[in-house]
Amino acid sequence: MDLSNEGIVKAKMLSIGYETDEDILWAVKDVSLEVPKNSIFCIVGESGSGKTTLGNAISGLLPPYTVTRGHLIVDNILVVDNNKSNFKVIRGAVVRIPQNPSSALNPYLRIGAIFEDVVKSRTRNLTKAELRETISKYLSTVQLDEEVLNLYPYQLSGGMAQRVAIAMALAARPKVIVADEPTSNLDAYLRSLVGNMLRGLVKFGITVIIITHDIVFASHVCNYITVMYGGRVVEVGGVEEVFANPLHPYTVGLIEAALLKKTTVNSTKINATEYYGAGCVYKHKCPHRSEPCRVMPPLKHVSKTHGVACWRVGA
Amino acid sequence: MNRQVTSMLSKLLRKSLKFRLGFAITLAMVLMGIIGLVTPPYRDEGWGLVTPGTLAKQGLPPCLPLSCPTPLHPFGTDEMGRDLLSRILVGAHIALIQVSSVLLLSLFIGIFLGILAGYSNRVIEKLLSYLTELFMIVPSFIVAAAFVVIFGRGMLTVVMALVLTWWPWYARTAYTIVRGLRELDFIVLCEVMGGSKAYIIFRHLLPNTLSTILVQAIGDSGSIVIEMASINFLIGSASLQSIDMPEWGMIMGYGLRYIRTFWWIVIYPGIFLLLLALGLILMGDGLSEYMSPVLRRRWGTWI
Amino acid sequence: MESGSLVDVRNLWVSYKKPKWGGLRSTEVHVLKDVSFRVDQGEVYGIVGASGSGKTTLLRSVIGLMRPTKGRVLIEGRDIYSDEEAHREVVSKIGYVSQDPYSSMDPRMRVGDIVGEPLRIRKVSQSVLSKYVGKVLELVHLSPSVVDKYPYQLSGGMLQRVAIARALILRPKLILLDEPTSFLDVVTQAEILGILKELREITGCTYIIVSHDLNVVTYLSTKIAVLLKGHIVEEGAVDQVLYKPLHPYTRLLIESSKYATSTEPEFSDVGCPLHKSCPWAKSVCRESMPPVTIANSTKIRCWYYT
Repeated sequence: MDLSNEGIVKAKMLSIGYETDEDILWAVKDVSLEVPKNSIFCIVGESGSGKTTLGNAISGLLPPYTVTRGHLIVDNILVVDNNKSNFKVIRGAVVRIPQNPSSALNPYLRIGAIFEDVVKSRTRNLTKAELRETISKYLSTVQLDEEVLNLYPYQLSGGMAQRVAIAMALAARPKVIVADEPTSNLDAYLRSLVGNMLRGLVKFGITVIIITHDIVFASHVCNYITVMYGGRVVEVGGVEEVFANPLHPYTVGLIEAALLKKTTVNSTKINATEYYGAGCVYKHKCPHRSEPCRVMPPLKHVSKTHGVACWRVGA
Repeated sequence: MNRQVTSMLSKLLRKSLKFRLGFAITLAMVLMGIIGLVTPPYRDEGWGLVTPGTLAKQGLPPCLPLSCPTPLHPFGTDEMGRDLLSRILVGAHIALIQVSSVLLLSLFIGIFLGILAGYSNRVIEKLLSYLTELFMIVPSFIVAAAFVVIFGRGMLTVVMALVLTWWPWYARTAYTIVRGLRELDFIVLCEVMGGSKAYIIFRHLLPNTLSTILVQAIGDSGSIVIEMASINFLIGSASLQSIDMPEWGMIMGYGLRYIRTFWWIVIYPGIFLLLLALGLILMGDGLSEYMSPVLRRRWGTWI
Repeated sequence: MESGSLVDVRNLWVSYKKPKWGGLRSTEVHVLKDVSFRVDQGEVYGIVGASGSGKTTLLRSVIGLMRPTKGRVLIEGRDIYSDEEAHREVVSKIGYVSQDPYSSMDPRMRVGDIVGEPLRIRKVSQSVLSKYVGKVLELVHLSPSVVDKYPYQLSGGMLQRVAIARALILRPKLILLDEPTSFLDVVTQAEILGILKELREITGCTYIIVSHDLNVVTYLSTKIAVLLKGHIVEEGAVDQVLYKPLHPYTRLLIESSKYATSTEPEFSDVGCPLHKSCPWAKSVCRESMPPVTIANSTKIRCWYYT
């Protein structure tokens, strides 16, 4: 993992919103982060936290009715420059593995045919033998048999579909792979399998960004973790330091919930998305809220990599 | 449910130019129909009856529009001397009643049979499917012609013919929707909880089906108007005597033979027919755009 | 014939016919094979199984939706498949919470009506109904204002609470839960599980919960069964199975939940499903399914222990 290089993905006060009938709904607000090259970077948050939108922005797959502010730089290319955005340039450098891979594939084609398309789009002039060899090389990295090439997408089980998706993402030879909720609806042993495979991708020189709500999965798989809530980043840092010493109350709650240590019965009657008022985005649920929380705290670093957005931390 | 409908209506009116236009036109037509029902300028002539006054005018060339001395005939008169404007006004309300009847009846029959087909045992399902396909194949004009021969020329004939050809489409849509709904958890759970078939049909299946089909139906209303007018046109043009009922299509059909000289008999009803169909189609389009979430997002960029 | 247990499943075989290409003949695919278990009043019986193990089919057969090919399902001592009356009386009073909250309720009905539906089917008057709806919403910690909302206006977690409230309204003795939290994120999952735990203490209800997530099942259950390709391969008290697992598949599940292994086992349809990837596989494992034996007060089906 390369700490000397600048991050391959950098966001500076990035905000992304959707236009609705009345006004703009901000899914991501003032997010600044840096993804180091060749690392495994996790964006963790619950549904509504904005992590999916952020992941979509990094992969260049935002719908046309989105509004943007701030800056997003991917592979040294300015992708978002306030309200101008140009996502087409990074397609190919960033590949996204969607949440439900088997439904993202053309149901009328066999896996082999789809795979060939992907490989051929990156390398021209391959003979049939070379093509087959390349494909089997990719398949072996995800521990799949060549038999899978004869199947149709609907015939793939959950674990196989995820692995096929990873192999295809590899075949596109990107610089960054964004995996969107790779473990949703997967059985337990498949989670650790997929996790290990994603970790293995870094040896190809690829940076892996994983979007998930499963913080336990993140703790076993990632190097760096960013915790999001309500569209904002509340904590960032290396995985070990954040888990050893979670600073933001939301991170604490998330870890406890994931480990089922504490199942407080929360009688919130409000949807998380409705509370984007002024002030700290977590204040309506925070047990430590106080006066200064009427203003959203900025992200402050307590160490080189560990940062948190909370008034209780730092001077 | 009323709150939902009114809020949807107000949103549509605010946002969609198409819908506003269509709504305005249709509303104008409805007003025309009301006037036609209550106070057309020449009441008897509007309904096609031949008054002594018109009889007196027979033999004289009918008035040209906008150039007649009093009594005024803004749209002229037809070959029997009857005021065309009144006939058009009365025709408006006839057209609206006919469209509504066709829609309501075919929706009623179609949804009923469709839900039954989708939620019963295999035998009934197959039987109703065959029945639906059978009626779907038959073209409306042939049925209408047959009905005219059997039942005569009145309003009911054409309405019945159209109902018979339109219900299969709604039945098919309802059937597809119900088949999809049937597998969903909430229906299965309701059955487990002890809900009777009738309860499930009226409480769950019907509301969910209705919402989709009604949108389709409003979109179809434009086509129904034109189809009806076409059938009446043929009836009118085949007719040897002058027609009493001032249905626009029929007026046009019968007036076709005078098109070279007394062209207004065909043109004016035609214009209003066009407007009504346009209004309904625009409304239907605006509504289905509203329903489709993909198109809705684009509102900011287009209209 | 009598059984003191609330739920008594005996030698249950459930299969469905898969039509062969060509249409006329069909093969019979067994989803559940010789499944037997008992659940007593007040217990929480957890079933852990991967996708394809038959766990949803098992739950559906307990609630009377899947007629078994062989075997019986007795609830409160009455066979729900042979006794029509028993089916109606008993089954309609079982609560059921399914996996996807959005498809388990009519999207055109308000929450208040959804929760009160079991009572409305029994022709209870509106005023009494509203009272019960209010009570049961309180039990799941939902504000009374949700009564007027539609499902699409609520989040997944809140909807799942609505589903639980609906399951509770008839004060059932038994509630079946099919992967109640798999569509929810970790925070909401913790909330729902907390509510379920609390409810059990308040109402003394019996749960049968099915999930692929071992942590979810062990959090709530008193007894666990491990389902592998239609067979229950291990069954015992929660602490026993979790800390002293016997069957290799159980061990695999436990290790995976700690992210300690990373292999996908290959299952077979002949003999013991695990024989292709089992470290203890013997030749007999390839041929037939082991019988039920008892070791360390857990029921187990493994040739290694026979």
